Amino acid sequence: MRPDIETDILVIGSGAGGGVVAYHLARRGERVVVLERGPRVESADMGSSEMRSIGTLYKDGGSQTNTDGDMFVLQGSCVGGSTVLTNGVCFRLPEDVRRAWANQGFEMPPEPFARSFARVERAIGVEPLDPRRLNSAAELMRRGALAWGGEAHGFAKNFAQCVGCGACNLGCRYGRKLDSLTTWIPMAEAHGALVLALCSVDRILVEKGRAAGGEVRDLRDGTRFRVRARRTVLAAGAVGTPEILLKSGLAPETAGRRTSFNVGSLVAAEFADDIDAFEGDQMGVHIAGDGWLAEQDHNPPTAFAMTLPGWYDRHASDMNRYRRLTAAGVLVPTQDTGQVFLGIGRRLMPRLFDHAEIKFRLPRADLSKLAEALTALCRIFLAAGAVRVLPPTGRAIEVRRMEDCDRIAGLIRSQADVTGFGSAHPMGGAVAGDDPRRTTVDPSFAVRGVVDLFVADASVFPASTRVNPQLTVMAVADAAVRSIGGFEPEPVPVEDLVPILRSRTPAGVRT
Amino acid sequence: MTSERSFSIDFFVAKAAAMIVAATPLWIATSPLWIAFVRRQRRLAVTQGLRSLMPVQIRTLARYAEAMMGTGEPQEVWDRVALRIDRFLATHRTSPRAWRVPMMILALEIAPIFTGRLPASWISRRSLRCFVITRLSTATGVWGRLAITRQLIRMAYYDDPVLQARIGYLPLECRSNPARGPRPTPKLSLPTESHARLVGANF
Repeated sequence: MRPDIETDILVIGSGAGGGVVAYHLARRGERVVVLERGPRVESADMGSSEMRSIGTLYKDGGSQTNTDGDMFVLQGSCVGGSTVLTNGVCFRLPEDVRRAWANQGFEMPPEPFARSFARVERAIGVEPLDPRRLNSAAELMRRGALAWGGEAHGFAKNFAQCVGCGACNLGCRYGRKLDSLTTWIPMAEAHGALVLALCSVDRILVEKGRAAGGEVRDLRDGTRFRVRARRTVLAAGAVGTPEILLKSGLAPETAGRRTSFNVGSLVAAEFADDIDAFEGDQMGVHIAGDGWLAEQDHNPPTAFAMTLPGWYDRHASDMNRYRRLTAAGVLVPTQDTGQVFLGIGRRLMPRLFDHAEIKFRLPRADLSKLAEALTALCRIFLAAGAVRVLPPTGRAIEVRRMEDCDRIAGLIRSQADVTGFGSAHPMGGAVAGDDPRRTTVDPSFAVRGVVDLFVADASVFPASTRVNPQLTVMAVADAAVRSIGGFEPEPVPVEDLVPILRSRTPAGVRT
Repeated sequence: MTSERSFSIDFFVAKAAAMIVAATPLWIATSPLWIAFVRRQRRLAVTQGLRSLMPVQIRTLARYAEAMMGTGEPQEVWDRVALRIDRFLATHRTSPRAWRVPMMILALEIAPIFTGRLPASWISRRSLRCFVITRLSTATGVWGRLAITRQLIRMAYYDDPVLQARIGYLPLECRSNPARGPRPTPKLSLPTESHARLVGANF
């Protein structure tokens, strides 16, 4: 055992939620310790190898799946959390989803919530994506959407002078993504916060009904120590937060339940000529459908190969036409039928199974919506002039004509039939609301039954956001600061942000 | 109502655990053999500079990579694919799920036995490819789970700058499309336009 660390605030997790909370509390003068399970990898150290980035920055090297093994759940596991791996997409929470949350007892009043959004948008520099950074496939999708009867829209992103390398999901090695690693965490450190990477929280310390910090394992050498804190904030994400609650024996009836996702998969399309869609931002436009979203998503070769359907020579021959290929994904919000739980393996062999399991089967209605979205995306690509489309059906097929698109739904009978089915947006699991029987956290972000323990991440969401949740997580964490710290967060002064951005020396920059 | 249920890893792990327990006398009886084998493999792993896998697993991966990719390249290519996977697994060795992939590779080595063949390292190229095609490319259930190795293999195969250049991919530093603004990367001179407005200058 190492000596204990004494602090005012312990924040578990350094992503979208933890970063915001750590910064505001540290700025207020509290002593803050942030614990992160993953490593700290600065932009300058992010190499060009996709494989190395996936292994280093993604939770379990990108191999986290549900218990049935037919769904990937991608999350970041590094300082900055999943914000390091996003495409920088920043959506405000749709108003109808905000109202749905309110109906479930988690009211985020419009005015203060809008102020929270405005504060985080300003701090992470959310602006419309520079059109010069769009890749060639963005224009094709725009045309396809129009011909299909819809409209493609651009994104607002938290980029600073994006260079359009097209590899956002591997972390920005040019230092242009204003993620938590680049903004909230160093800003919190500038105000005295201590950030410890590669430290896993085994359980929350509870003394006389109060949270008193956490029991921590240093993953580098296995040594254990305690961080004793007056208040503890869980921001370990929609899988990590309920996992820690369950390991600590807290809220056993509700923790881990009501997990929801934005699920999806990628559709690839081939055009007659070289389009070199890898040149430019990999996610330039999106198209809103009836209850789903299609987002352009062109991956660099390694990730592209992993999501392209097909086997053997055919797969290799398709990859040889990489310059003519592009892809887009669909996002379908699911019902909250998922569950994060500790499996029996952990009781029998805790060293081997020291992680939470995720149980999720796509409800029938959501499956139909997914099939509908994939079919529509195939139509959009054909309308854009694709010579063939490769939908992610387990039985690899090619679609060359509009009428062939109708075959897709018939091939999707379960999520196992969808190649590359998964989610990078898990939510819920420690849901907030006013019904103590169905929620883990009360509307003021406090965990029920324990004093001084709060949750400030996507696990409090009562329902899926339907859009990329990064910005909403930050805004909700901003709102949580009011309960945790007892004060209204102030806008981030530019003198906090500027020195940090100026000091960065992104890789590959020639001056 | 949820969609059709096909396979459960939980059920599979429980079944596998039951089988291992049932075979305990066999494990004990043969322990001198496999303990010696594992020790030798570990020694070899150190001498060969492997970080996560044993030489037998490297060989298995190389064989499967050749069978799964079907691109007819020389053996060195597949050996490099297997070594990249070894390095990849080392990048997240602190993950609580890190042991699963090496176990799955061992399962892949012995999997052909259950279809009346010798282990993967011992059978001919043609026979292994036949096994992959008949069992791993279309199957669901246990075979389907083993088939996710193809993701690892694809990842390692395409994570090669030479191959990436061959299929036409250019990393940012090698691009020169004047229509899309300056290349390579301009110096990061201001965080965002709004910050520039706040600061009042382009710092």
